[in-house]
Amino acid sequence: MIDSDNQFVNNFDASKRSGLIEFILRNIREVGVYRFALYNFISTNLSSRYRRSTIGFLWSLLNPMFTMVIMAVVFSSLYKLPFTEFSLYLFSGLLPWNLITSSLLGGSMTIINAEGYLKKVYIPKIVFPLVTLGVEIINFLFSLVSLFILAFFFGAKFDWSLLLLPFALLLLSLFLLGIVLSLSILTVFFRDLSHILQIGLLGLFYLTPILYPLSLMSGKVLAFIKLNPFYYFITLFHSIIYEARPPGRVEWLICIGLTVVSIFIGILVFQKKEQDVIYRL
Amino acid sequence: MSALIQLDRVSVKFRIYHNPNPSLKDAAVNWLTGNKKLNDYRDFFALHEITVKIDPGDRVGFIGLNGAGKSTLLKTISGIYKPHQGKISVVGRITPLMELGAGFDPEQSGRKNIFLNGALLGFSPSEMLKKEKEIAEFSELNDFLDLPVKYYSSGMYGRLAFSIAAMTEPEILMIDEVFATGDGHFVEKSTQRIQQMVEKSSILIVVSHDINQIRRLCNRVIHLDQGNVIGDGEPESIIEQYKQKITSIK
Repeated sequence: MIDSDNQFVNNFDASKRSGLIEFILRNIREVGVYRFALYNFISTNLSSRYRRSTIGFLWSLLNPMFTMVIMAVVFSSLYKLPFTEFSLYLFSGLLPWNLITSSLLGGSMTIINAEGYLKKVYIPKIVFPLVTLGVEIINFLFSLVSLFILAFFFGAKFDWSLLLLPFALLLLSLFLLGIVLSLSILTVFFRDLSHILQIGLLGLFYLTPILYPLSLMSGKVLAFIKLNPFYYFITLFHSIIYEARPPGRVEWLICIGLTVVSIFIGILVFQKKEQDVIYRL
Repeated sequence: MSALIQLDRVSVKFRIYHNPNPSLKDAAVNWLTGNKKLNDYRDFFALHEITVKIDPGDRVGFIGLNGAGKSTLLKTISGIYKPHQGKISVVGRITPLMELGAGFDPEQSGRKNIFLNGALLGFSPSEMLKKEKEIAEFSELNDFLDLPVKYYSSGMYGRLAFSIAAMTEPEILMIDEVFATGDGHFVEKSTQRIQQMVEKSSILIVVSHDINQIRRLCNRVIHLDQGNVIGDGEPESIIEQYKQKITSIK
């Protein structure tokens, strides 16, 4: 059901494929109409995630904090680096990485999991990738708080470059949105995609300088790291949070370029296959 | 506000795949071995070149055997299925009295679900706030409304679902196999409510196997058979045709 001029209409002509611009505008309009459903899905998703634990959403702060402290202890002693310095490095990379993996894994299943809704009531499919991403971004923001508590505790210095953090997050979110749009549709047609994705993400994790400083790598491995698109986004976060310096122009441009490509592919996949998904759920 | 439904040679096909659970692994294996069999599918038309125009004031009953395409047609009009061929044009807010409780979140309270369900129907929280009291009263769930829906009996579940669906101002009212849940008292109350909604609606669409109900509610009947319209017109003559169809099978 599409809403234009506050009138509920459902117009569809199978002989005409809607153009890209028309498709984008329709989806924006529909998300506007279903914004309350979007908001509700996100809030129930978050509340059911933390409902059953006594200290509720505090777990979302404590859990990453403890995990990161353990990892920092292990790896800083392994590399013989100062604990506080290395832990800040580790956290500033690991948090966005967690956002990446949970968005992509959740995003790949989001339309399949929404089968119950999609087959029974009309609801624009784009809502579900947006729900997944919204939930994961809010989780990321929670864990960011725990990062700053830790950083403060370790006596990290704050720099005005931190003001760039929202832009880095926005860019990463849009990049992820593009991939999630593609994945959510493709997984319907290839059900094993989410398993493949899990393994792929594990590989990419080690091809991103998170557990180790980039300076430890050289030669072939370095070349592979540079082929990993996530490396560039993690670098943004490293430089803003850990190095406390604004990322360079080239670093921004690479990320903007990657985001444009990912969004473009995502929209194309969604436009081409959106209508067929319902018949394969 | 006048509603309108227009279908112009609308076809919906379902694909029956040889392999219902497609995977990338299978796709890769097929590609390597040149095996086409796993990708095999058979098209079958759930709706075949349906041309129907429904005007304001029409009370249309869809009849037909199981698998004739009645429910598919309703879902196509709702926008859940997009046709593979043809043109569809629907104007007006659709109130579906079918798949009730589809958007319920079992973990949330009944009250919260009123808003969740309303949002799925395109209503804002402030609009639902106005309806909340009426819904609560109609459902007669009282204190149970603050309990998570998962603790509801199926009767209570049905009552809440119906109460929410029945509070919308229908422009196009769709009823699929009228159900009556709850105890005798609630059945009577909901039957009355449906009658009120039918009177207020601009267009009514009923799918039912209950011929008496179709007779009572409709001024036009459409007979579907294997995805085709084989009769459209005055209720009595079409119902007669449908009865002959049933006896011809025996």
